[in-house]
Amino acid sequence: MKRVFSHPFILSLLIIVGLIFLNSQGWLKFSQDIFFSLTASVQKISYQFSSKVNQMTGSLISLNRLNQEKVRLAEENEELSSQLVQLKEAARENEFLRQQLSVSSPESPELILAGVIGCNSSFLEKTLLINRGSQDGVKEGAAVITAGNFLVGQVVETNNSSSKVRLILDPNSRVNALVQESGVTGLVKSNQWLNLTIDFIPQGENIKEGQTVVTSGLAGFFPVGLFIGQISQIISIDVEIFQKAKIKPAVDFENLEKVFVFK
Amino acid sequence: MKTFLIILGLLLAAVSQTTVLPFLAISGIVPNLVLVLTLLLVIFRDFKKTWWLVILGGLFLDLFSGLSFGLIGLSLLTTAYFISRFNQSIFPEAKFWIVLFLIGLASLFYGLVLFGLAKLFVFINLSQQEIYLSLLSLNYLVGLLISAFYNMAFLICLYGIKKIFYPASFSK
Repeated sequence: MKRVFSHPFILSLLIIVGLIFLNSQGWLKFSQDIFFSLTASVQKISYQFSSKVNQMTGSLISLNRLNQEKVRLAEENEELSSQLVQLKEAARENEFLRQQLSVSSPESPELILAGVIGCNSSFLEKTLLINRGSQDGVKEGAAVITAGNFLVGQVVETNNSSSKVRLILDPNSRVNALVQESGVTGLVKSNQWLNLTIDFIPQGENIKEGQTVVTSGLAGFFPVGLFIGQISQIISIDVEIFQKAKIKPAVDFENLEKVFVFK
Repeated sequence: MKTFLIILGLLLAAVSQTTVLPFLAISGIVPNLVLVLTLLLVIFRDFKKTWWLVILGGLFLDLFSGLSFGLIGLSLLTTAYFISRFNQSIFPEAKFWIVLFLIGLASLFYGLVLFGLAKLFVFINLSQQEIYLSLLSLNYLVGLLISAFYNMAFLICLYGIKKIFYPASFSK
């Protein structure tokens, strides 16, 4: 019996199982907080430096596409300016009607600004490390967005001064969503090739490329109306009950530096 | 001093894996630096002398990972032990091409063990995070292959530091 327990593999196994047990009881929280406090500054510097280098090399590689990109952005800008005018008018009418009906405006949610200090990427997970934790008001399950209400993911673990965010690109992430133009609901999921798809859309529902996909708020995991992306390709096979569509994510996950966490 | 440097090396590898290597990702997959370094340790120094470093490497990865705590540590431990036994049983000498093959094999084994343990953790309620991936899906299998090749490519880059871990007196 003693020989069995002194075998290195068995001993290692027992140690790790012991650590798993201690962690499940919350007894490793303090050690984890200290560990992250010590490594956070090194991680932040390292991540920011790598991000800058990545952006520079990306710019150099795409130099020849800059002109085309400029033309495309100018056209998009004109279209968005026109939409903005219409939206402002709609907002003004909305406010007028609220006053007439004595209905109060929905409160703006409180957001916590956080910096990205690390990223875990494998075939089984896609998570971010951010430099805000429970002492800053971050809670497990909180939605995480970027400026413009673009959905990034959800907080899955918090420490004192840092947290882990599961991205919507994570293979195990599921987001209840709807196509804004038609109101059709579906489920947004990912595979490990950094693709998002919206699935479980009934055949016969009219969806088109370029339509906007936002969170539907069903199941209560994410607030309503967070921008996920735009439909880039529709995959519809007649013999299947549901059709699906590929989504181009709104967030540039490769250049993420700052995010907002819902309080 | 050498032990301290190895521990520091493992920690820096874990930090690099979350801060530098994500920008070198291929289809969202990055090389597993801690796995490669840990396997080099067990191949050149035997599992009986380095088991505690395997635990430490797994612990560092677990702390940075969004997966359930202990999942990566258990997978790394199992993989390291399997590779150590396999290497000792089959190969008389740890030549470069053999090490390269072992790293590739270990990467595949690690991916399968990690997936299996993730499913087990959900089954016994140690993890609330559902695993929707299917082991038999083309996406997952191709992802495993990319991961294996990427780790092997990284080993080729790291081969120069083999001399730090390889004791001059080691031979079979």
